[in-house]
Amino acid sequence: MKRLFRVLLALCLTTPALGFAQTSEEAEAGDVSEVDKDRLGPLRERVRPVSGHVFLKKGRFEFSPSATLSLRDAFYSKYIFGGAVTYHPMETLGVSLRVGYALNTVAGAAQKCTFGEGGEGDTRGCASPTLDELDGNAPGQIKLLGGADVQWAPIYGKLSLLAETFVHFDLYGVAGASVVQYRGPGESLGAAPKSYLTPGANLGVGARFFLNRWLTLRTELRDLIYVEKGTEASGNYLRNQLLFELGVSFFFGSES
Amino acid sequence: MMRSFRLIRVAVLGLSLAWAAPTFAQNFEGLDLSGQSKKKRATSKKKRTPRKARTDKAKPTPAEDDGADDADDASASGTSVAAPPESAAPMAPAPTPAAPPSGNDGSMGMGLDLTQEAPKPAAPTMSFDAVDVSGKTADRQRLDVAVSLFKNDEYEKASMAAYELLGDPKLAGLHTEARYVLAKALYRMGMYHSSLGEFSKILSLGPSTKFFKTSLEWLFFISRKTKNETVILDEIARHANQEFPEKYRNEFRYLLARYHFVRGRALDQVGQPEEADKSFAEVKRLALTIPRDDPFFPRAKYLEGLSFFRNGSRQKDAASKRANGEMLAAVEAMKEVVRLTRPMPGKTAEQAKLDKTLRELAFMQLARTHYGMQQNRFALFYLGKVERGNTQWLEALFESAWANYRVGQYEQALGNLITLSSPFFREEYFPEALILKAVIYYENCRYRESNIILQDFERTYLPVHDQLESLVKKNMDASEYYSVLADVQKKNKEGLEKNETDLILERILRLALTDQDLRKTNDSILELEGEMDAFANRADTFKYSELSKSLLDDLKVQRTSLIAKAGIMAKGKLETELVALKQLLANGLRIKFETTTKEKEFLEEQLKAGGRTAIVKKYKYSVAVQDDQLYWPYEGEYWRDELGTYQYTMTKGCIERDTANRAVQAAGAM
Amino acid sequence: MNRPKLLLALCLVPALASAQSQEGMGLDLTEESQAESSQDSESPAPPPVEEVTASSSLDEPVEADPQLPLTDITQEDRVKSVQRKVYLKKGRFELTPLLSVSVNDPFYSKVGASVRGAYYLADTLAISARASLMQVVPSDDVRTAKRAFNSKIFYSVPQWSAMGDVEWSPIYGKVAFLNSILHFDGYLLAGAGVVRTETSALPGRGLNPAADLGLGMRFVAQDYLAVNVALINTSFVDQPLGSSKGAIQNVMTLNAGISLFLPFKSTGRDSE
Repeated sequence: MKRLFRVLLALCLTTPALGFAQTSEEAEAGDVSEVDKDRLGPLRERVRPVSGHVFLKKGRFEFSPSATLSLRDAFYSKYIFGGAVTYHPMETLGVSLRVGYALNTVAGAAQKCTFGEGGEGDTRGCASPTLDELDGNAPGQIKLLGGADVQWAPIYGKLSLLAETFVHFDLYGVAGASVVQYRGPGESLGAAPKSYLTPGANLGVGARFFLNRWLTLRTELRDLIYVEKGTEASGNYLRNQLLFELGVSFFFGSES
Repeated sequence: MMRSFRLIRVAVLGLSLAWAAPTFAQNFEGLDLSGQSKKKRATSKKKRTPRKARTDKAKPTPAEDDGADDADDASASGTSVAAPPESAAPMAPAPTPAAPPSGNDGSMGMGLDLTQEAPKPAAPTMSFDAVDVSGKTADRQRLDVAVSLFKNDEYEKASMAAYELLGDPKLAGLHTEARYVLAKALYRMGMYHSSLGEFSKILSLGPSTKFFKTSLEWLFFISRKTKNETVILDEIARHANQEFPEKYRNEFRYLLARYHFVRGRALDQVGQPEEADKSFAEVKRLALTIPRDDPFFPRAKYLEGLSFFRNGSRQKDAASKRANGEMLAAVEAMKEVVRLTRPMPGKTAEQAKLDKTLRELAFMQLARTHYGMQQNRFALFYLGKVERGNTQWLEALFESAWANYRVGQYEQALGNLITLSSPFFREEYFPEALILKAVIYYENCRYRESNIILQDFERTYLPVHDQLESLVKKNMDASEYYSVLADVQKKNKEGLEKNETDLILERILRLALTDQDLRKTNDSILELEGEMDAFANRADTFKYSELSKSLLDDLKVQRTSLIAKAGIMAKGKLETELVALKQLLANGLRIKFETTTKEKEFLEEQLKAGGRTAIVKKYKYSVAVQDDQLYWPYEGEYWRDELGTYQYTMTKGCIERDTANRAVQAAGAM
Repeated sequence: MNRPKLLLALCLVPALASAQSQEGMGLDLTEESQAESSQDSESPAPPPVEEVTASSSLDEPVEADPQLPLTDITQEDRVKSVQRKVYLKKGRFELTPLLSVSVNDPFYSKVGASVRGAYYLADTLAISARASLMQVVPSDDVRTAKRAFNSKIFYSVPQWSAMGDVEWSPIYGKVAFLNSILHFDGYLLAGAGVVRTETSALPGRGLNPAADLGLGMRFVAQDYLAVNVALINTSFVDQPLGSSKGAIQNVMTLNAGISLFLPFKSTGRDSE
């Protein structure tokens, strides 16, 4: 479940880390620095896989407004609106700051049913609970998100859709720290719910599809891990919040 | 007094036995001296290599008289007998081989015969020797010292010790042996050219010396270590009439075939075709003597194929070539090479690598042969078999551009040329590629583009032409031509700043080095210079010894002659390239004329028609590819696995046609 | 129009070609023998005329565009790369063991293992059959729900499923990772089958019919090996134990596995 996801994500991101000794930044077409012209032999050893990239990120700022949807929610579905600002010091490395404001709705999984005369098995009159009913009582009610991440984008590729459209993209992994503001139960039993601030970590993978030299479509799947304070009865919750983000990135600065 | 002498004798005997004993256990670098029996010396004098081809190092030419052979025999036996110390009769005869010239049976050591000679029947000299036995013993001991140093891997000291012996005229009898030790020590120290010099001197003494056969074998070892086997080819050819030991016989035959091949080619270049014919006939004959399952057979077969090709090339037009027996034989020979070099398990890594190179060369040669016979599709087939990234790949791309052009597949031809002009390979020298591009555009009525390309060509290659012309006009000494190239090389190596002229010269250098012979000679010179420089890294005692001085002198002489050789090749190559470049420039001009004529005609038609008409029309094209193919448009981004797969789509072209490609039907073309 | 045969007319001695002779043997006596041409001597060229149709901007863009190598591509012409596929799939069988985990149920995850066999009718079309075993695993939120809200959760417990699908790959692509280039293709799948749930054992019930919809990606590593990742949504109707109404159950699973292709060789070529 949550643990499994964590493991899977970690695995996906660590295996690329094995090959960290990678070649230096990409360059414009015509970069022959890697070509050892005197050597003869398979091209693999003389020429880099891609050169003259259609899209370059090095030295550019990325401003990316986005919308995020939370997945696999038991109680609350969150729609987070926000954005991220990233700076790419290297072609494959970026540092970003993100913020998001969350709108909470009750998740579809939660249903409140009244039992009919038929006994327990006979449910009728099922309806979703209202937000007030759940307020503060169930974990996962996020209000604000903020964080700082590091991105690593080792994979660059292109794909063709039915040989008609060709899209260039890159895949990246992201890891960082977050700050989460959520609503949780009051200090003591019966108290009103209040907001809490807690640190967390996030881990994810994403892809950017290049539309033109300064515009890309960005999508990301992130796991937000944080601890939510619960009641004395329930104890604290370790939350694995899956978030799916879709955004548009604007790149500023010239390619160096 | 006498007792002390006896004691000394015993002591010396004991010492030498102690030295001799380990040699039996010693096995050496593949030298298989067992079972080597003295063969009858072939007395035929057939292969006296002419002076002309012997352009190599100006070493003291060995005094090779056939007449002197027998005399040598006697003197050789004389000297080697005088060598061994204990000839005094009272000594217990140590195990010995019989007569000295019978080679080194029984001693598994370094060919050095440390076993004692049987005491000779009394001769006037013997009694004289008996008196001086102590002196001789000391000398022999000096040699033994050298030998033991060698065995202990102290090659520098061994070589110096051996050299000292050579300097002493009193020890004339030991000279050959000492030189042998010196030569081997030099080899072990990695000084192959110096070692070769010493072995040459031994070989020049004639086949009667004890070390003749093993020196011949050492030639093979050296040939495997030097970058360029050609340095020893001359040496080998000099002893062509010797019987080589079984193990190396085929390698020897192959090397001899190569020698004749290179010679024939040189003769062709200087315009002596009849002499060249003889050389090539010799190549073919030698190739036939190598058995089919020998590892040298494919290479010899390749040479045979090239010889056939050369003979068949005397036919000038394609039809007669197709009918010519030698051409067809060339094709068959190359196909055989391809069959034999198929990758198979069970070959060593080195053998597999050699096979692979040879296979590629065979493919290229097959392609060229078919191309010459105007069988373009066959040529394309073979060119397609050259693997990406290998040495011949760019060349294959270029030649298939030509073949594609000939069959009217302009788009594929242009696509190949795109790879050639991609940033990775732009520095390779392919001026003709631009002319081919211009011609193709011309063929497709794209006159504007054709002109642009020609402008580009002139901008790039006119300076090269001018520089080449000025170089050739200087009419310098041949070796000075080489030094121009060497300077550029040095600048490259040291990464110095290069100005405009330097860049052009560098281009010329790359061009010159496309000539394989020049490149190999260049490699040899660099190797030689490396060897000379290595002297500075040796121990001081060695660095400043007499031996070093003498070796350096020899190397300098070798180097001078190699440079002279390289200079001749360089000059010849530069002159050829200049002519070719002039021709290309002239062709470019011709295309320009044609283009302008066409444009003029078109304008005249426009005037007649009284309106605007088009010189080109848009073509329809599709991006559909077969199921087993992937299609990617080129957008300025280079992907490594797409290099070599580019195809060009002409979107506009001649009005008479609908597509750029067309089926070209030429008589007899395939 | 009578065009002089300038082509073969160019007595281009690719002496350059012959000069760039082989390595190793260093011996090349080839001389290209292009057919000699008859050189018509042209009259001196008239002053260059403008080509009317081509736009006057034709001259500059070729040089100004930094991307395109000079004179490689003239305006409007296109360059494409037509690569032969290194590994073909047509006519081959694929065997894939997969692990799956559901991604859409916050309370009860289904983890499972499946085996998939496929046959490729064409390189982009395949028919497959998949059999999975599933296990329901409650998540932490179940405890929360029960404790905090005294809730009862009615859930469907699928046990195994057998589906038959059709897969179509409209997408192909390649990625550069470190020094390698890997090819992949993306496919859509749809199909139908049956799912057996806990309730199937009840009288009057049986196997539940189900439908599949999903998409996936296959990264080709070797001629016989690929990595397969897919997101498949299996829908079936079930009335969970304890509840009185049936509902459409959607189990969206993320599947990952390694594919084995038989026969092992398709083209026999090496990648790149």
